[in-house]
Amino acid sequence: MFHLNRAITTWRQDLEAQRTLRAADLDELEDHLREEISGLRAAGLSEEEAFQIARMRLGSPHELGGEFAMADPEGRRSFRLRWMVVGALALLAMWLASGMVAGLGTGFVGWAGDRGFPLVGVFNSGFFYVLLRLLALTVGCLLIWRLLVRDSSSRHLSKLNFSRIIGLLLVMMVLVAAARFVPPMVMIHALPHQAFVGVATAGSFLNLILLLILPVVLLLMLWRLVRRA
Amino acid sequence: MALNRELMAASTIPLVLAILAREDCYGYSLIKQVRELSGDRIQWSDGMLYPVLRRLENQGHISSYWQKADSGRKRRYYRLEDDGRQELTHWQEQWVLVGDVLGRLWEKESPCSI
Repeated sequence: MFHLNRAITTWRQDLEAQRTLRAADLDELEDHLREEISGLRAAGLSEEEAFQIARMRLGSPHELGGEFAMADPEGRRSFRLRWMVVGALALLAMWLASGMVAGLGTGFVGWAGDRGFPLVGVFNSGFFYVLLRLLALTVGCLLIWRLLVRDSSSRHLSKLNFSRIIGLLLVMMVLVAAARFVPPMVMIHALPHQAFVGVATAGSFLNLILLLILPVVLLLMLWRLVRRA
Repeated sequence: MALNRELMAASTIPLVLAILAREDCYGYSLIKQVRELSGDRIQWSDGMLYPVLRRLENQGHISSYWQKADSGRKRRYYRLEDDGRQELTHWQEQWVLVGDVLGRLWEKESPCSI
């Protein structure tokens, strides 16, 4: 049984997945489609026939997406940048949250170990911290993917795209881990003790400043982008 | 005889501007008017009009506003701006020039045969 509203919703989702049309463009095209369908219905066509013809006359979502992208290249760039900034902010928040989860988990293991709970002693606290953090990070990445990527075009995210996202996350994790562990190791082996303490303190301070400044910069960028849109 | 693709593409902007110079319109009615005025010989691919409207709006030639239609749905109408009127004048001059030259060529004998 054909349901017109359901078919229009699916058609609209196909267009939305092109990511070049704004909500107002989608509303306008939907109004056009419905008007065309009414005209064809008045000419004696069934609801399904009218929908198929009207949809065909409007053009494929891929073609429409390409035309809209060419008509508004600045808007397209701004749209992409906006989502990149949102993604970076979400990633930053997740990085902090995963640190807190891992810290709490490690604390709990230490607390349980002190009270003689069985099996808890097998967890080396450093290893357990990294494990928990990776776990929290993976859950967070999947959550971000679900909220930011999957939300608007769940049916269109192919297995290939999903594999790419997971692959990218894994590469990021390896790079982040390398960025955190390699410099201290180099410093330990290359610097005398006194110098190491000084550089490590400066590094921690820089890290803290970056953690404070980065979200502010990203939020400012987002505010400007949203205002411009 | 239907208009060929190149000529159709070249005439889209002046046609849109010329219709909007008469009255504010929404996308579907623009397409219908062009179809009727041309006796069905100019048939735009419906969806391709909207990116053109978007481009004209970004260039400041037209502006848009939303209004409730009889069906109860909100509808986007387009209005010609002063910039658009100037743009239309340029287009008119160019099309008149091309029409004039072609008219002369087709009315008289070719100068090459003299």
